Amino acid sequence: MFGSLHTRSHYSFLSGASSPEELAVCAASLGHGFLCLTDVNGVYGAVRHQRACRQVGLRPLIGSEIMVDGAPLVLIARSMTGYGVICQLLTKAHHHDRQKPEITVDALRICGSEVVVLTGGHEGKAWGLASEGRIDALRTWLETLASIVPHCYIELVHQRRPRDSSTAATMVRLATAMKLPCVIGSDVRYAQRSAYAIYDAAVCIRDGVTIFDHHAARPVNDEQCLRQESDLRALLPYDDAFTNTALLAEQCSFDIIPDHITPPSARLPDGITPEQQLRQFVETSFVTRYAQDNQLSERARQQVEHELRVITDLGLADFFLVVKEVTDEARRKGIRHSGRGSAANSIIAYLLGITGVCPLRHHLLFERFLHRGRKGTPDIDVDFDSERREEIIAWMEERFGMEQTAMTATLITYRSRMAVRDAAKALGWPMDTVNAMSKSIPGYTNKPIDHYREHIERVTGSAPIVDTLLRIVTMIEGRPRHLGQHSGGMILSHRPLWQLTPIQVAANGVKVVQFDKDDVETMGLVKFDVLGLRMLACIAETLELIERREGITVDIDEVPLDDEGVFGMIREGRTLGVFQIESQGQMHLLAQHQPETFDDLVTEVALFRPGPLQGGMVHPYIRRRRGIEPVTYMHPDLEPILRDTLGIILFQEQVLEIAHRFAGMSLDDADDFRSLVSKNRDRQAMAAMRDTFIQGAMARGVDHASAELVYEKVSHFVGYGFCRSHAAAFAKTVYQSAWLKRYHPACYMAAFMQHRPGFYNLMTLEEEARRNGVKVLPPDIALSGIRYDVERDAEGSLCIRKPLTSVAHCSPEVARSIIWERGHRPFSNIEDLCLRTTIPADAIDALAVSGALDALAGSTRRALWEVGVVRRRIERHRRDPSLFDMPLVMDDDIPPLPQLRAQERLAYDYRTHGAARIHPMTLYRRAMNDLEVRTIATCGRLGTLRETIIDGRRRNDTGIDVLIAGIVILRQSPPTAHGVLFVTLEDETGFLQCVVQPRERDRFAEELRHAALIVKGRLHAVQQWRGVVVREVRVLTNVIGGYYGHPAMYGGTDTMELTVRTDAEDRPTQDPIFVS
Amino acid sequence: MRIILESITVESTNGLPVACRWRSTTFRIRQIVDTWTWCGQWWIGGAQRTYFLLDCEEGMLEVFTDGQTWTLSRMSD
Repeated sequence: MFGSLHTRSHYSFLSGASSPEELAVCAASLGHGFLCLTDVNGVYGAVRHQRACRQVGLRPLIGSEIMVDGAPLVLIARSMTGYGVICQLLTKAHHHDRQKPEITVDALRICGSEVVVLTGGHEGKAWGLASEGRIDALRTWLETLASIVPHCYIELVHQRRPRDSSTAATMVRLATAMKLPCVIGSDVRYAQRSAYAIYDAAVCIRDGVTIFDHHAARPVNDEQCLRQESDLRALLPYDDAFTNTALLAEQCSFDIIPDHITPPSARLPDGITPEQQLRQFVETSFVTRYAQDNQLSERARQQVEHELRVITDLGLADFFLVVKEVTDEARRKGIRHSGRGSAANSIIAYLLGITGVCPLRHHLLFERFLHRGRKGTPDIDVDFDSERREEIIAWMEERFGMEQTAMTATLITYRSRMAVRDAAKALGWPMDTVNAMSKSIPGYTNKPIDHYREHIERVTGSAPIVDTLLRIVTMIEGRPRHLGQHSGGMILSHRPLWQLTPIQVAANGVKVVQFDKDDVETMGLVKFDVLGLRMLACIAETLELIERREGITVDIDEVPLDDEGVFGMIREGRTLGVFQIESQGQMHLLAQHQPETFDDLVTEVALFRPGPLQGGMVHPYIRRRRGIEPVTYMHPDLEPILRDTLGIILFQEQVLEIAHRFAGMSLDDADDFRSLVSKNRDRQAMAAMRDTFIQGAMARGVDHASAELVYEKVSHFVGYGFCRSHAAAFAKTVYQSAWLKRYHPACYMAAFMQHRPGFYNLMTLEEEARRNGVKVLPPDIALSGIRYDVERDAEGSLCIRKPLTSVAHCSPEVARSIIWERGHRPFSNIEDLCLRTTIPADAIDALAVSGALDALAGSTRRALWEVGVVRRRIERHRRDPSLFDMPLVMDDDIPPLPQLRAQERLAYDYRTHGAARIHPMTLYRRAMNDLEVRTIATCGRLGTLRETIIDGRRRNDTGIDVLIAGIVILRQSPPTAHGVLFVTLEDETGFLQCVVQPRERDRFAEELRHAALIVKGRLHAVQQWRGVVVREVRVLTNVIGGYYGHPAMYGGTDTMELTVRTDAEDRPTQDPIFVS
Repeated sequence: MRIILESITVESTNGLPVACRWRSTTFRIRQIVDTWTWCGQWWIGGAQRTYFLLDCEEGMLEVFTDGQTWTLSRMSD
C-alpha cells in the first residue's frame, strides 16, 4: 500500500492549493491506498478529508504540520487518542502566538505511542541540516527527537529540486547508522501539476510578494503534487522506506465522524433520567399554557406526546434541557431573549420557554424542525439582548466548563472581489490600481469573474496579464482564505473539546474551534446559536426607561396582539424604527397589504424575502388578501397546505409539506427537497428531484400536468425564504417594537438611538422622534449621561436627552469622568470644569461646539472661546505657580461675540453629535418655494388617488407630476429590483421613496451620486404611501451651499460637514467658520 | 561556477545527456551529479526547464533543456 503521508490541502490557508476532495480523487486515480492530511497548524479539513477518502475507497489518515522550535514537524495520529494529543498540541501552539503558532520540542513528550512524528519535508529542520551537510547537528536533532517521541520517522522527499537525491541519501545513511526508520513523505501541496500556478500565486499572496519577486518560500517547480509510487521509487530507491510507509499507514486507524451525537449533560436530580425530567417540565408548563384552552388542549396533548417520542428516540432530551437551562438563566438575569428559527415549530420548545410562539395557534410544522430521519442535531437559535449576550456566554462557560465550550468557526472563502484584490497584488499592480479594480467588482456576486472583465479593463486597460489575473481569480474563488468566527454558534460538549478539535483564540479573545458548523454537526457535537440582536437590547432598554421615567411597568410579552392603535400605525406606514418593517420597500408593501392581525404580520415578514419576491408570489398574495382576485389552488390536494396563505406558497414549511403530502416523499427526502429548492445551486440534483417529485405525485393519483405545474411553482420558491416559525418569532418582536413606538415613543426612540438596530442615520431618527411629538434635546454637560435618556421638559412632556457620548471624541471614559466629578458638585463655569477634569482637548472642544457647555458659558461661541483661554492659561500657570491665585478667565478676556447663525448651529451640531436640531432643508425652504419645490408632507395630501386596473393589476399612478427636494437618506438597488434604484429623500416634513428606472439611472448617474437632490416625477400612491417615479434629477448642492460626507454617501456614518474655512489666528481655539 | 547562458550541443539518450560540445570543446561526462526542474514564468507561458549538473573530465557543467534546445547555464572556473 502506498500513499502520501504529508499532504496539505487548501485548508492550510494559502499554503496548499487543493481541496480534500480533489486530493482524495487524485490519490485514488494514482492507485494510492491511503492519504494523510497534514495541514499547517490545524486539522481544519479533517472531516471533509475523512468523508472524501471514504467515498473513493482510501484509508484516511489525519495529522498536522506543526511548527516546533521554528521548523515544521509532521504529526500523524495513530488513534483517536493520538488525534486528541495532536489537537492538544495545536491548541497549545495557537495559544502561544495567534499569528505564529508554535510549540517547543519538549511539548512533544505527550505524544507517547499514539502519535507518529515525521521530520518534515523541505522546510523541516532535518532536511535543512542534511542538505547543508551539517551531519553532527542533524544527528543531535534526531537524537533529541527520538528521545522524546517513541515513533519518530525520517521523512524522505524528492521534488526534483537541486540536491534532493544527495540530501535523501545523506538522511538514509544517517538513519541506518542511528537505527531510525525512514518513510516516504511526499510533502504534497496540491493534487495535480496544473495547480502549481495557483499554489505559487497563493504563496505570493500569503507572503506579500509579487510573482516577479524572488522568495525562498516560492515553489521552483510543479513537483509538489501527488505522484505515482513508481515515479517516487525511481527517484528514491529505498525499498525499506516504502515498506515502512505502508506499515505506518496500516497502524493508523480511527474515525472522527461518529454515528451518534454527544450532547452536553443536563443538570438532573438524582435518579431522574433526562426524559423524565423533560416530561416533568413539559407537564408543569402544559397546565398553565393549554389546560384552560378547551379548543387547543386535546391537539396540544397529542402534539406533546408525538414530539416527546421523537425527542426520546433521537436521544435529544439532554439537549432540550440544556437549552432550557440557558434560557432560564437569561430570564433569571433579566436578559431579554427570543427563540427564533425552526425551533419555534416545536411545542416542547414553547412549553420549555425557549420560544415564545405557540406552534398550534400559528400552524407551525414540527417536522421542519425535527423528525426521526434528521441527521445531526436540530438548530435551536436564540436571540439575546446584544448588549448582554457576553454575560450569557460567560455563564455557559462556567456552567458547562471552559474546556467543554467554544465558538464554532466560519471558513472565510474567497469571493470575487477579494480574489481580484489579492491576485492583483500578487501580480504586482500598484495599490491604487488594486483598490480601483476591487471596487469595480460587486461585493456579492454569483457571476463568473469573466463577466467583470470589462470592469477590470476599464481600470487596467487591456493587457495579457488581465487573462492571468482572471485565471488566478477563477482558481482561488471559493477556496478558504482564513478562519473566522461564527456569529453565535456555541458548542456545548460533555467531553473536553480538545479531544475533538484544536481551539484557537480569536482577536477578540473568544475561543474558536477549527471546524465550521457543518463539520461540527458531522462530528456529533451540539451547537447552540447564541445570537445577539440589537432590537432586543432596544426593547429591554425601552422597558427600563418606561419604568424609570414614566413610572409604569410594562410586561411586553403579555400585551394583547390585536391592538388597533398599533395596526393603524403599521398600516399608515409609520414604521421607521420598527423591527423588520422599517425599510422603504416594507412600507410600500404594508400600504398594499394593510395588515390587520398578528398573522398578517407573520405573512408581512415572510413576504419581503428574496424567495417570495423572486418567485412572483407577493402580488398574487396581496391581491387575494385584499379580495381583488379569487383564491384558487393548483390542485385540490394543496388546499389544506396552502389555505391560510390563500393558495400561495410563502413558507419553507409549505414546500416541505407539498413534497411530503402531495409528492409522497418521506419527511427526510422532503426536507432535503426543501433545502435543495431554497439553495437552488445544484441544477443536476434539482433535475433528479424534479423526476422524483412528479413521479411521486402521479403515484398518488395526480395527473401529469398538475404535478408538473405544482413542481414548477414550488421550484420557484428559490433563494432565501423564511420558515413560518421564524417569521412568527420575528413577528412577535415586530409587534412588540411597534407597540412600544406607538405608546411610549420617547422611551422607545431614546433606546433606539442608543442601540441603533436599524439602518437609518441619526438625523432621520431624530426627525422621526420629532414627527412623533418627542423633542430631542442636545447634549448638556450638567444633564446628559452616558446613554440616551428621557426627561421631562417644562411642560411636563417627555423628551430625549442626548448623552455626552454622542459628542465626537467624548468616549465613555471621558463621560464617566465628567459624571463622577459632577456627582461631587455641579460645575460652576468652564474654568471649574477644566480644572476638575482631565478631558482631552479634542473632546472639550467638541463639547463646546456641540452646545453642551452653553449653560456654563451662556453661548456656544463664548464656551469655545473660554475653553481656549483656559487651556492656554492652565499651561501658563503651570509654568508660573505664583499666578495660581488669579482666575483663569476674566471678563476682559472675552470680546463681544455674535450669536451663532442657524447655518452655523446646524453645521456645529452635525460635526459634533451627528444630527442637527432642525432639518437642513428648513433653512432653504424659501429658496425651494421660489423653485416651486413642494414639501414631502404635502405629497401625502396631494390629489385624489386614481385607482385604475390595467391588465388585471391595480395601478397606483396619481397622474400628478411633483417637484421635491431633500437629502438622500437611503440609496438601494437590491438584486430583486432588476436595475431599479430606490432613492429615499428626506426634508423637514418627512421622507419619500423615489424610484429611478434603469434608463433614468444611466442618464442621471452623476447627479444621483450626490447627497441632496431635486427630483421631478410622477407621484404614485397606495393608501398613505407615496412614491415618485423619477423623470428628471438635479443636484441641490449649489442651492444650499454645498456639503459632503452625508451618511447616505459614505456608508453609515452620521457626520455631515459643511464647507469649512478654519481661521485660528484671531481665536484662541480652532473655531470653524462655515461659509454658506 | 560562472554563469554562461549560451547554447550548447548535447548528445542525449532517454533525455539524459551523455556528451556535450561547446565552443569546439567536447565534454566527456563521467557522471550526472544532480538533476532538477524549474517551472519559470508560468504567467507568460514560460517553458519548464530540466537542469543537469554534469561531472565531466574537463570540469563541472550545469546545462538545461526546455525540451527543444540545450543551454549551458554555468561551468566551473
